[in-house]
Amino acid sequence: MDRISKLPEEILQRILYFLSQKQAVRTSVLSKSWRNIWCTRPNLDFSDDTFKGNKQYFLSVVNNTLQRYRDQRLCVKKFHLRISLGDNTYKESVSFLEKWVPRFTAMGVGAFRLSILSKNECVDMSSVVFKAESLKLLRLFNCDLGQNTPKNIPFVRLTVLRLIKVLINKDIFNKIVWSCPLLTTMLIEQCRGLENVTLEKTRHKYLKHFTFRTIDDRCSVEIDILTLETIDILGCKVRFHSHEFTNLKSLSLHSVEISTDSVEQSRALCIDAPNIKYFRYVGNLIPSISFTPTSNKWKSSSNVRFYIKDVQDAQSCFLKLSKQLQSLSRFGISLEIAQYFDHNIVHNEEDLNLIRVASLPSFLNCLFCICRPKIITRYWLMHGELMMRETEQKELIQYFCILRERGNQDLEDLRIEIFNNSRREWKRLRGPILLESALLDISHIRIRLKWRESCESSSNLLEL
Amino acid sequence: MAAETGTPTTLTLKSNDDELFSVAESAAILSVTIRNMVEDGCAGGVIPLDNVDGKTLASVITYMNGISAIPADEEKKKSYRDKFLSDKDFETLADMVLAANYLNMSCLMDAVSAKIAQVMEKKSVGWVRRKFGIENDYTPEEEAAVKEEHKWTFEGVETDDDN
Repeated sequence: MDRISKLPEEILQRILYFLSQKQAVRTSVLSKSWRNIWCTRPNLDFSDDTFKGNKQYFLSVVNNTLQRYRDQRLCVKKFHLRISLGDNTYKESVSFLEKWVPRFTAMGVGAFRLSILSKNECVDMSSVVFKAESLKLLRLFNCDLGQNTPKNIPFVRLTVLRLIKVLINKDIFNKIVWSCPLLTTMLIEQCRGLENVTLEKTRHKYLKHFTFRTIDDRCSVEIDILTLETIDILGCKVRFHSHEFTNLKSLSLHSVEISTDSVEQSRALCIDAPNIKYFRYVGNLIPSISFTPTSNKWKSSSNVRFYIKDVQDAQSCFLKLSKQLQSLSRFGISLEIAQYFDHNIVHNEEDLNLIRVASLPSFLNCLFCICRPKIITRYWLMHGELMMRETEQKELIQYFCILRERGNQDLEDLRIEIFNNSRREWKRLRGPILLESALLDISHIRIRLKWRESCESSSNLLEL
Repeated sequence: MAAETGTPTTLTLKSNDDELFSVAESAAILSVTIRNMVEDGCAGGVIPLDNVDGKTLASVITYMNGISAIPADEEKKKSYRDKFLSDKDFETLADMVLAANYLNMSCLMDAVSAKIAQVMEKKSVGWVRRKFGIENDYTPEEEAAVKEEHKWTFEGVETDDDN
């Protein structure tokens, strides 16, 4: 007999443990000795997105497998089920789920990961979800958690909670998360009815990763947990009750309104995060965020983006920007400045247009007063009038050519590079004149600047 | 006991083909089998490991020393395991998994099992048979019946490349 088939069954079981459900079941065809090895595998994994065959077939395969494990009193240490509800099978799927889930406790399922995704209507899943006692991960998409929650929510082992487009109110949400002492990851995205989330250190001792994204600006988040490693908030008010984040590695604030408890600096947010590696800020106001001097391990991957919507008051805008850059100056910064063509344009990154033609050279003059960028990239968007783009391109190149020729006392070297769309590469532009034909095929221009060492560099990378 | 004197203790392990190996006790007790012997006070002389040959034991000891030198950092340990197993052929892996099972070293057992599983994943039945030299003792009718029973696992494209 061959070597692998001769291995003791406990080892073969271990090998099968690391296979996908499909591949493990398939081993039954290898030879007679393999026929039943997979049958007692302690982990089950069913996912309808990778299942070849229709939904009814999927449901019957899961049902038969569970039935067999139950009949033979086999142990299931890990169980993963991902199911999407849609079209004409959702009622059938829900009734299967209602049948399966309560049985898992009796079957001794150790770690249960459940994902339910509803394609069309928002389906009430309270009859299923609140029966899942051994839940380790719960992911719901477009579901309703109903109005009637049980007295005791059985999620004592839940570590990962992901709710996307879930209909849930604050009371039910709190009742759920307060019953999950081991929660490490919480993601809440566009959940209707949930306008306020408060994270309290006494309730979430192990929470490490927190994401809250919404398009409803009435929403608010309050954070009072010092042990967080990741904070990612989009589109709402955020209030920090504490400023010391010893473990914080990544902070992303996108279109948020920040408030703090701090008395002396009512509008400024000062964060003490000695381990921060990534910071991203996107907003239409220049924020007053600073990191205390202990936050000095910041890597160059940090990314600061400001959307400046209204530059009518350019002076105050530059002053604020200058202040902000100075407070972040120890770190490598990628700064992105954008101005909307029209304030009515939808907030969609692809619809952004950048600084208008007329203001560009004067804008750059002001910018060089406040920072020393190493790379400046100018993006053009593919829509809009070609003529305009050409004029803009020429104007920008001209500006930098003049700067290169005349020089600047602090500037050591300046290289202009253009991105060739069809060849997908950056090319250095040597002469002052650019061929008309070459212009047609450019989407970005990049300027690399080398500043003399004596001058303070406050910004490494600047994207326009 | 080593812990009391404070000096590192060395154990002598003997393979089933009578090769002797010295290994630091702190590394050797990754094996629950050896740890139990040490705790029971049977580790004074030579520890005979009747189910492991010299070649495999040498490899296991390399692993014991390597992994115990890494501080508690699961990512670094994982990358050490990946690197350690990367150049091993199936025969060696089979010897190692048997040794790991006998020595009761769950981390090595899991790493080798996962490595063998990785070879089988997303491969057709025919490919797995050829790769591991498994003889198909089903009659065509029997094979068709087993396939029919689990027909959902045979739909879609099969990858049969030898990579």
